[in-house]
Formats: sequence, structure tokens, C-alpha cells
Amino acid sequence: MQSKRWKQVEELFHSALEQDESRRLEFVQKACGGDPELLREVESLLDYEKPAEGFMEAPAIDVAARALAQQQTAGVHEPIVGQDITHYRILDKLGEGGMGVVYRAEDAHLGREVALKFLPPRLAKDQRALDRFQREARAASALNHPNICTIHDFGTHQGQPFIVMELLRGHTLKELIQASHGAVFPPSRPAPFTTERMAELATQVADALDAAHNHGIIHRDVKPANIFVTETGQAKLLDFGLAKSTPGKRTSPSGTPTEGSSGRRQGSGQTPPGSTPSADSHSFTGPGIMMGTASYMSPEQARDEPLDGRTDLFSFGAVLYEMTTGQQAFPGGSTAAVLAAVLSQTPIAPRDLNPQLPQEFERIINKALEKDRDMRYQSAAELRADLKRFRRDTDSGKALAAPGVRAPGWKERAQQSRIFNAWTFSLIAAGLLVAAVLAVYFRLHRTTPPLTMQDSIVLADFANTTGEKIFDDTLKQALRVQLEQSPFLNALSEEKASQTLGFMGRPRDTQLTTAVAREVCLRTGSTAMLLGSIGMLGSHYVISLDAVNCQSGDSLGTEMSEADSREHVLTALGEAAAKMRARLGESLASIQKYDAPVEQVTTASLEALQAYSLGMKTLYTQGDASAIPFLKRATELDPNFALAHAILGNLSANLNQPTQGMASIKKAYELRGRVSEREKLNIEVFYHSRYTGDMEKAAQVCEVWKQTYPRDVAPHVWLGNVYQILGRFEKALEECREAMRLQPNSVSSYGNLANIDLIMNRLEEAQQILSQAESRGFTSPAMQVFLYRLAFLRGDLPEMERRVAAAAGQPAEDQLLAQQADTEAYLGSLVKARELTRRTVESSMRDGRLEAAATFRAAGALREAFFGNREQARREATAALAMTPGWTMQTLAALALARAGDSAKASEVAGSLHQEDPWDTLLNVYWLPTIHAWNTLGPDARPASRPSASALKSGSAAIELLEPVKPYELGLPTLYWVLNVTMCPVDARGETYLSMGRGAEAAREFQKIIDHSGLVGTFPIGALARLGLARAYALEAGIDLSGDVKAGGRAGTAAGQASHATPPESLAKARSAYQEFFTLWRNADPDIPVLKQARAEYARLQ
Amino acid sequence: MTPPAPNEVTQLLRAWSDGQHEALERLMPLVYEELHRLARHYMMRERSGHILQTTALVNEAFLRLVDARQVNWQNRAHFFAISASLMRRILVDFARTYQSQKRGAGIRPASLDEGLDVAEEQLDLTVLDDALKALAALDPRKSRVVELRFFGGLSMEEAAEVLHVSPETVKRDWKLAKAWLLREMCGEQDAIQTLEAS
Repeated sequence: MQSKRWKQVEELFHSALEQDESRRLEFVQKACGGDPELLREVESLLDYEKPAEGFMEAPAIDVAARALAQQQTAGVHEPIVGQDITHYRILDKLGEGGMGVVYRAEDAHLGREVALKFLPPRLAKDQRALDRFQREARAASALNHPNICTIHDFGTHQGQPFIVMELLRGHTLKELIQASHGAVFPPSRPAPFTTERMAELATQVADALDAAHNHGIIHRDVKPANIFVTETGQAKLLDFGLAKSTPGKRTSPSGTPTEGSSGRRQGSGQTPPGSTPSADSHSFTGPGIMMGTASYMSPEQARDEPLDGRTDLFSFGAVLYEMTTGQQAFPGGSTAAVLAAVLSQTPIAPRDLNPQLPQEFERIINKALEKDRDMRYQSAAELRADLKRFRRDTDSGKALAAPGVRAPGWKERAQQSRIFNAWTFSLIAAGLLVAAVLAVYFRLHRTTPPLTMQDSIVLADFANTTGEKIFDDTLKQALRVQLEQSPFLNALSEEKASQTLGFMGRPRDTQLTTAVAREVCLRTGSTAMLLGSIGMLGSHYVISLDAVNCQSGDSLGTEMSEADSREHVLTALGEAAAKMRARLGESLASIQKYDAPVEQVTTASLEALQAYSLGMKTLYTQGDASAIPFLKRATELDPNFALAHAILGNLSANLNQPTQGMASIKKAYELRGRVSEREKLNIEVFYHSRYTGDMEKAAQVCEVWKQTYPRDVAPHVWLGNVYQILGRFEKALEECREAMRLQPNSVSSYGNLANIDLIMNRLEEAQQILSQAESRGFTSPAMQVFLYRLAFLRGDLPEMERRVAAAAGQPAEDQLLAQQADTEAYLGSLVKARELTRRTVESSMRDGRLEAAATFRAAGALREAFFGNREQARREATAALAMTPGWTMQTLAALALARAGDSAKASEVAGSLHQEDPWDTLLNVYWLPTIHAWNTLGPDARPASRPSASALKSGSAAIELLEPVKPYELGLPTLYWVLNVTMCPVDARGETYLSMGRGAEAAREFQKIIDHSGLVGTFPIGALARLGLARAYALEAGIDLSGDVKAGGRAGTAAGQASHATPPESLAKARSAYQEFFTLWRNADPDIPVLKQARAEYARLQ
Repeated sequence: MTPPAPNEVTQLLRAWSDGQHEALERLMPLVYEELHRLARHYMMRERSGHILQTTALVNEAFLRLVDARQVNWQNRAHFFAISASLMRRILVDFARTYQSQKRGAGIRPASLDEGLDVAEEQLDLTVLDDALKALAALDPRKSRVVELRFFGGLSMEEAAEVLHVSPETVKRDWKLAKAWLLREMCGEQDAIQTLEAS
């Protein structure tokens, strides 16, 4: 192309892009005038503009690295040609795709050639999925159908499962379609097959599906890549059972197989046990995971509903569409776009794309592609019959397309379908009268409760026609609180709803209008939605609630109530809600038991409720910090608004501002009679576990909670926390897993599990859970800290640096910096550690989190004390104390002061802590004993082989003080995990034994710290424990570490008997332990007191 | 285990741009090492079945390779241009070698898998390289924009500095070049597919 021409193209391209998308084509056509070549060039470039958006956005090195990773992943256990795998000899590689790598192999037993397919890792790891796959693949294979690929065998090779199947020669339909149509973008080219050929293949596939469905097997993933066409022209359906699904197939009355519950969907009223979709039924758990198959999903699959055989017919319809037109029925640039198309768009009529296609074939495709499965072909046999009839008629020439004649009714159907999709609930529009009539009708005709305990319900935003803005968000929140009391109803959480909006590609604060609510309802697999409205009737307020089945659009019941004034609206809403609960199937006993009036469990002040509602909305759209001002406002408007206090407490604690949080939670606890039963339990646990620290009490409340609301995740989460504090990590793991099972998409479950895995040193598991969380877009500051700790435990320095860099400017910045400071200290780089702590404190301050800043500073003081810089320790502790009050900070400062020998100040701070929270378990049994033990030991406690009588005396006293800590010493002493301070009492005990000359006992304590590297994490106590151990061995070997030259003269007076004969092995152990410490600290700053001492001690060993 | 020191790579690049061709020999293993390090990272993630956007990470990796601060005092633009074209050579070469190992019985790893989101699929650097050559014949500047941005990891502003044009121009070039290249590459694929089927 000449450069002038190219300039023209370029100019037009950019000008067109400036136009509104709808007017672009028109613009280009006009601009190109009579130059068709120019028009084609510009148009085609514009076509590629959108697809190219993400193209080359990742740097080339990234692309290359991914390719390499892919190659290596595939190659991890990749068999080599010529290798024998059991009795199969690999001959060559046939290919690879999303479903695994395929090899040609020879079966040595039977002397035949077979295909070996290694399954993708995601399947290999999921035992249940694997079992199901084997079961179904076997069942499908057992059908012995000529159009179903036969499975001969299953096996595993180095842990990777493979299947042995009949060797097919030919191509997949995907390859065939691509070969003839090219890629998807360039528009229509000639069809790959003749119509007869297509009809023949289609009949074969329909026959295969019919056979499978008759035996209760659904394929679930019918797509061109799964249909093979052999060289002899036979169609073969591949990969039965590979798609994710719910276990527990049943056969429905109509003969098509179904999975999970059919009862509630069809409204027959019988709900089989376990009809909630289980965790793995969610074929999409996050954006991107379904990549690749979305285009062939049925609408019910896209909505994650229970499936029956008709899903395969829809998918097959999409395959037929592509086969005949060369284009996908539901194209889109992203999974979300494709899903949206599957759910709501009518594809371009096939004959518009391929005018050669006979009308009858088009009708068949359209019928298979009906979105409503009741309108679709009801069985594969029915589809097959139509195809057969079509072929017969084609043979006799009847069905050949008459050019220009369109399939009658197509447009009309498309129209109807669009109307259906824009389906709005006319109930409200038509007025309350209609609703009331329907309600009566419904009451007469109802036989079974419309909802069961397994069903969840979506709350739509209220339609507010009063013109009073105050009702906008408040009524929905009030209704939510009211309904959440019920152990029966399961209102979809605000969090989940906003997450779903995100998946739908909508802003998270989108109004849940009827249409949007319905989509959320369908997507989340909820059963019903509750539509509320408030309007004026004369001077009265009329409130109506309408429960609607979101699939059928049927009303499940309507309730109305009236209020004669604004002040009574909440009461009226409460009445309507209570009646609605009964209507939806909750027992009267349950309603009576859990029916605190709405204005009581929230607030009687509409203004306060409004502030609260705005706060909750902000919370789920903008995060914790932004919600706080609204909730504060709510508590100001109504100081007795317990729920608002409770949430404020929670949020402040999350933001590492414990003291502020405690004040709120204490207030909420005092007012706990004014909240719903569930919220009361929540407040009580919060109060006991975080405020009073009475863990046993907290655990008791959790047990009650578990029984009252068995579906609730929260008690498991709490118990998980409590057990972590108590150091019972196995039990904690159990509770967290249960929490994860109940609520697979919760950020905190991931965080908890990762933390426990790290503590238990299960690094692979931790990695896995963190990757999962990350890939789901779950990030929280804690999660980032865990990722850092994982890298630390693995010794992966570059990764650690990356984690810190990634957090720069993020909310987690200070916490990552604090971790990095600890790491430097762990390696003896005290100067760097100090600098990092300084930056940590600055970062917290920048975010306005003064208490967090002070806490980090106090942690720095503690570090100085550990390292023997007493002056610095005191200075920093004092500075931290001067910044702001705070429980955690004060605890750390007191400990630092005690270790630095300032017992007076340490006692003072500890005393004030005790006075403030006299019943705090953690303080009483963990921190105070540790602080007192150090105060008792005094500043001059040193490792001594011949301790003085007074040293022995204070040592015994310290050991006694530390006794009550024993049950907790291997637990987490604070719920603010990000703060890495653990095992201090163990260290104190070890040091005490050293000062008493009891080497063996000291060694045991320090060994404990070394053995719990996961629990210790980056906390420098882990490094110092190595020195402690060395000293303990030296004492055992009878070495005098005190440096007191006169000590030798008093040999044998105290615990120094060992010095009579120095056991050489103890000495060797001591030496190597010192060396190990020196190696760890090889780059340490030379002037750290504890290091200088260690060097001097080591010199004595020589 | 330890990643190459930024200075080392920078020194080598400078040496190479000064005409010391043996520097390339020493440079390639370093880039490969970085590649393998990144790949390990991805493998860890892909084993758990997930794909992530890690652009930030990679940018950092690139910075680790090339310490641009070292050359601030020198001819920065020249240096950037050299690095980008060198990176292109190394990476395309790498892609070519690994593909020759990989290509088996004619089934091409799907680049347009199920028609979804081309950009997220595996991009074939050798095909891109060819397309880029074709673009260079038509519009050399656009091809250089791509080289600087995609292979050299430069920002719009940096690329503008190298090419002595405004960032706005770079943005426009980049947009059109991407559409053009993608079309070119898809077109080529059609041709290959048809060839294979026949």
C-alpha cells in the first residue's frame, strides 16, 4: 500500500474511533465515499480494534515466560515417546488441549493401538470430581454406542490420572470449523460441510446424546472440541463427565436425567435432601475460570442451576449454529459478555449468515437454542427425529431453501424473546389492588411452602414513590435485619450481591431494581426475590412486599401493611415482614421465637437508620474505612443503636485500631438486648474473644450459635479464631474448613486457612490457598502479609521484596514494611530494621491510624530489648506510649520495658492494662505473667553456670509466674495476626533457666521456638532462640559464660557440678549451635550487644 | 537462585551497543534465567489452576534486568532502543527454539480458543515477529513503537522520548498497530489452518 493511502486509512481509523460506536459505520461509509477498498480496509481494522485491546498489554518477556511455564507444566510428568506406562507403550504425541495431552500408545496385552489422555491438573487434584468422571466416563463407555468414544481403562502415572480410549483418526469439529471458516473474526465464508453432511453428523451426535440421557448421563460440555469426526466420517462424542457438576444424578419423571433438586424448580413442592447446590456445582467461581466453554453453555448452566439433559441440547444447538454459519451463536470479548449473550441475546438468524441453509434446518437450530428449556427440544430423541425428517425431506428436495424466503415467524419469535428478556414485573406497576387479588389467589392455591431452608432469597431495592428520600435505602436494610433473625430464611448477603454485580460487569452499587435483582437471583442460584415498595395513599403510607420466584416469575406471596405516619413505617414494615416469613414457609413457632420488632433491633430513628444504611452500602462498595463515618453518624443520631455500634467495633478492629473498636463493642454489648438474636450472639462472641479475652466463654457462645443457626458461617469463623489463640490449630483448621464449606467465597476463610497452614508449617497448602484467594481477586492486607510470610518461610528473598513493593501505597503497606523490618532484624541487620520500622510508623500515620503506628513502634522497642539495646528500647517504648493509648501497643511496650530492665515503668503500664480489663484472659494468663517474669528476673539476669543464690531465687519465682501460660504458650496471643509477636513466654522461661544454670531445661525451651518456625514467622525471637540454645549447651558442657574471671574459684558451690568433667559432645553441640547463629547473622551489624556477648562467649569455648 | 544483578545486564547491554558483540553471548543466559524464574512463578500458580494478571510483577522483573538509572547520564534514548531490539531478538529466538521442540503432530495450540478473548490466549512471538516485519515495511515508526513498548517494556512517555514524538502520537500509533498486527496474525492463522486441513 502506498504511504499516502496508508495515511488516509490511519486518519479515518482514528476519526472513526472518536465517533460514538453506533454511528461509526455510518461515518466511515460516508467518509470513504465511493472507495470500497478504503472502506474495507478501515472497517476491518476497526473490527480488530476491540479484540486488540488486551493484545500485547503484557510485556513480551511475560508472554515468553508463560509459554515456558506452560511447556514445563505439561512436561512435569510428561511421558517420553518409547516409555512404558503400565502395559502401554507411548508411540507419539497426538496433541494437547484444554482437556489434557493425548498420546498414541500400544496396548502390549491386546496388541492394539489406543489413545492415552492425561487429564488436566485441576481435575487430577479433585478426588470427587475424578471419581465422578470415572463413573460417568465408564457409564457412557458402557453404552457401547458407535458415536461415543469408548473408554478402555483408567490409570495413574506419577500421580497424574490418565484414561485409555479408542484411538480415533480424524479431526475435532472445532478444527474442521476453523479450517473452513477461518478464525472467528473475518465474517462469513462458505460452510465447511454440505447441508446433508451436517445433518448426518448432527443425527449421529443426537443419537449419542439420546443414548446417554436414557442412562441418566448428562454430558454438560458439548462443544466443537468435544465432537470428533473420524476419517471415515463418523461422529464421536468425547469427554463425558469432564465438566464440573453436582453429584447425585436422578432421573426425572419425564425421563431426562436431572441433577440435584428438581423439586423447587418445578414447584412440585418436594425437595429432596441436600438440594442446595454444593460448592463444586458452581461451574464458575470467578471471572475467567470458565474461559473457553462459556460460549456453549446453556442459560441454566450459566445461571448455575440444576441441570438436566436439555442443557446438552442447547449446547448442541450452539454447535450446530457454528457448524452451519461459521460463527459463534454467542460471541463476546469476555466471559461476562458471552454469558450475558447466552442469557439474554437472540443470535443473528443463521440464514442471515448462511443464506444456503434450508429453513427447516434453521428452525431446528433455533428450537435447540430456546432459552427457556421448556420451549426447547425436550429430548435428544425429539431432536434426532426432526433431523431425520429433515434429511428425508431434503433427499426428496422438499426442504431446499428458496432464495429470499425467510423462515416465517423467526422475527416474531425473536421479538417475543426480547420481550421475555425485558420481562418486568407488572405487579407493582399495575398497582396494589392486583397484588392483593393475586395474593388471595395464591393463598387459595397454595399447597406446599414455596421455600425451604436451602433456598436463598434476594432483597431488591424498595420502589419508593413517596418522594421522601429517607426511605430509599433504609427500608431494605430494616427488612434485611428483620429477616436475618430467621433461622429459616436465607437472605443473600449484601456482600454476595455486590460481588455478583461485579461478575455481571456492573458497578457494585448498582440499584437492585426488579430486573437487576432477578439477574442477581438467577446468577446466585437463589430461588426467589423479595420486591418491596412504599407509596402514599392519601396521608397513609402503604408498604408492600412481593416474593417472586425468579425463574418462573410466579408470585410466591404478597403482603401489605399501612402506616398512618412516617414514624410508624418501620413498625408496619416489621408486620409485613413477619407475615411474609410465614407465607414463605417458616413455622409459627420459629417466627414467634425470633421476631423482635424491626425498630427495636435497629433503631426507631429513621435518620439513624438512613445513616446506617448508607454506611452498609458504602461498606460493600468502598470498603471498611469509608463506611466508618456513616456508622458513627448513626450512633450519634441514636446512641442506643446497638447494631451500628457492633459494626463500628468490627470495622475499627479490622483496621488495626483495637481500642476504638473495643469502645464500640463494649457499648454494643451493653445494648445487646436491642438487637436480633443472631446479632446478639455475634456481639457476645466478639466481646468475649476480643474485649474480655475470655476464650472459653466465647467458645460456648459459638456452640449455641452453631445450634441456633446451623447454616451460619460466623460461629465457625469465630471458633477458628478462638482455637488459634488457644494454640489448638488442628481444631482451628476444622472450623475454618467448615466455614469455607458453608461460604466458599469468603475472604476471611482464605485468610484463616492460610494463616493456620503457615503456622503449622504446611507451606504447600498455604501456597495453594493463597493462590486460590489471589486468583479470585481476594486481597486483604492480612492476605498480603501471609504471602510475605510464606516467602519468608521458604527463604525466597526476591518474592519477599516483590510483596513489599506490590504493597507500596496500598492499605497493607505498613504491615508489609513491618514484616520486612522483622526480617532484617531476624538476620541481625538492626540498622535497616530500624529504618524500616520508621517507615512503617510513617505509613500508618499517613493513613491516620495512630494506634497502629504506636503499636509498630512498640514492637520496635521490644526488638531493641531483645538485642540488648536497653536504652533504645526504653526510649522507643516511652515514645510509643506517648502517642496514643492502645491495648496491644501497651502490652508490647510493657514487655519491652521489662526486658530492658525498667521494671518500675513496666509494672506501671501492666497495672493500668490490668485495671482497664481485669478479666481479660489473654492478658492475665499470657502477657502479664511474661512481663512479671522479666521484672522478677531483673536487668542483670545472665546465663550462669554457677548462679548466685539470689539469682536462683528470682529464677524460681519467674518459673512459677510463667506456669499458668503453659496451655497458651503455643497459641497466638492476639487476634491481630499481622502483628508477629509469639512465644515470648517460652523465651522468658528459656532465659530464666539459663540464669539458673539449668542448661538442659533451657535448651528444651529454645528448641521449642526453633521447632515452631511457622508460628514464629519473621519475629526475631526465632533467630535469638539459636543463641539461647547455644548458651544452654554451653552451660550443659559446664562452660562459664558470665565472663567473671573470679567465678572459677567457687567451683562446685552451685549448679556447676558438670564442670568437673566437660562432656565433649555437649561442647561440640554448643560450638555448632553458636556457629549456626553466627552463620544466620553473618551480615549482622557488628555492634549489637547480644552479638558481641555471643562472640565473647564463643571465645571461651575454644 | 539469585537473579542476575541489574548492573550486570546493563553493562552488557551497553557493551553490546558499543559494538562488543560477544556481550550478547553472556547476556542471553541472564535473560533466560530471568525467564525461567518467571516461568516457575507461573507454574506454581497454574498448578492450582489459575491464571493471573501479573503485569506489575513482570515490569519489575524487567527493571531488575535492566537498571535504567545506570544510564541516565548516557544517551538514554539510544540505550532504550538498543535494549528493546535486543530483547526482541532474544525472546523471539527463544520462542522459536521452544516451539521446534514442541510442535508435534499438527494440532496447533489453540490461539483463538473457542473464540474468546484473543488477548488472553497464548501469543506466538514468532508469528508476531513476522507480522511486525510486515508492519515495518508499511510504517516503520509504528513497528518501532511496538518494539519499544512490547519488547522493551517502555511506557508511552519513554517511547515518545526515544522516537522524538509526542506521547499522544505514540498512543495513536500503538492503537492502530495493535489492530493491524492482530488482523495480520489472525489472517495468517487462517491460512495455516486451511493448509493443514487440506
